[in-house]
Amino acid sequence: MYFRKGDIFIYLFLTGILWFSISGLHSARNSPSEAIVEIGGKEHYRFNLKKEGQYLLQEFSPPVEVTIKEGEIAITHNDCPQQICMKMGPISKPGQTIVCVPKKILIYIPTHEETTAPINTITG
Amino acid sequence: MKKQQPPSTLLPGKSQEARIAGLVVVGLLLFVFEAYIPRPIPWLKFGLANIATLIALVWLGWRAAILVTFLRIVIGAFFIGTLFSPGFFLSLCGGLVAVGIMSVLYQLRVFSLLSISVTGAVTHNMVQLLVATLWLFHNAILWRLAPYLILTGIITGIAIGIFTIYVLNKLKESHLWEDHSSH
Repeated sequence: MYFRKGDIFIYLFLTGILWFSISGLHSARNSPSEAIVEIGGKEHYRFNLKKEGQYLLQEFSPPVEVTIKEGEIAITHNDCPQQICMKMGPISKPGQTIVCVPKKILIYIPTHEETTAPINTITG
Repeated sequence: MKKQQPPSTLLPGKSQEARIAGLVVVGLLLFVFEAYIPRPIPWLKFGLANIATLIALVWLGWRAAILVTFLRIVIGAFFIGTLFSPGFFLSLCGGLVAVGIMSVLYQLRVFSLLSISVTGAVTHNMVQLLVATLWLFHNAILWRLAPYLILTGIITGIAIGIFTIYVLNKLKESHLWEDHSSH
C-alpha cells in the first residue's frame, strides 16, 4: 500500500510542478512602497506603506479594518467566520499577499513588474 | 488502540448504506475537529476528513467515496456556518475533483494508496487555487501561493496517507471487512 511502481510517475510529476511553480516566483528586489487592496478582482485602494494609520473598508458592514504600521499592512478587524486573513498576520515585502476568501479581499504588495505591467491582472 | 478505528464502533448495521453513513460521520467529526483546533499556519489544513474518503474508496468503492466526500462537505459546512459561502464552493470543487482523480488512480491499480493520498491533497489545494483565481479574485498574483500549496499538499498527503493505511490495515483485521468490497 505504501509503494507501487506507478508512484514514481506521480512523484516525478509533483516534483516537476513544484519546481515549475517555484521558478515562477521572480525574486523581488524593489523596496516595498505600496499595498494594493482588491475586492472581487477590482482594485479599490492603494495604500502608501509609509503612511501609518487605520483604514476602514466601508464596502463591508461592519467595515473591515486595515492597519498600516512600521511599513507593514494587516487586516486587523473582520467578522468573517474563520478569520484566516487576520491570523495570516502583517505583510511587508513585495510579492506577499493577504487573502480573505469569504469577502473576496486580496491585499498584495506588488513587485516592480507588477506595479508597472497590468498584464498580470486577469480582468474577469 | 481501539480508538483509532472509528468505523467499527460507528457502524451499527452491515449494509453499504450504514457504512457510508458511518464514514460520513467519521469525516464530519474530523472536519469539525480540524476547523476548531488552532493551526500553526492559519491557512494550512491537514485534510483529516480525507481519511474517511480514502477508507471509503478502498473499502466501499469509488461511488461511495464520492458520496462520502459530497455529504461531508455539505453537512460540515452547515455545521461550521459556511454553507453556500465562497469558501464552501472552493471546498466542494477541491473535494470533488480530488476524489474523482483519486478514484481514477485507484482504479488503474498501479499506484499505492500513499501516492494517491498525496495526489488528492495536492489536487484539492490546486483546484481551490484555480477556482479562487478565476471566480473570486480574478488576479493571477494568487498563483504566488502555488508553491506553498503544492508543498503543504505533499506533506499533509503523506501524513494522511500513512495514517489511513494504518487504519485500513486494522479495519481489514476486523469483522467489518467482508469480501463484498470488490477489492
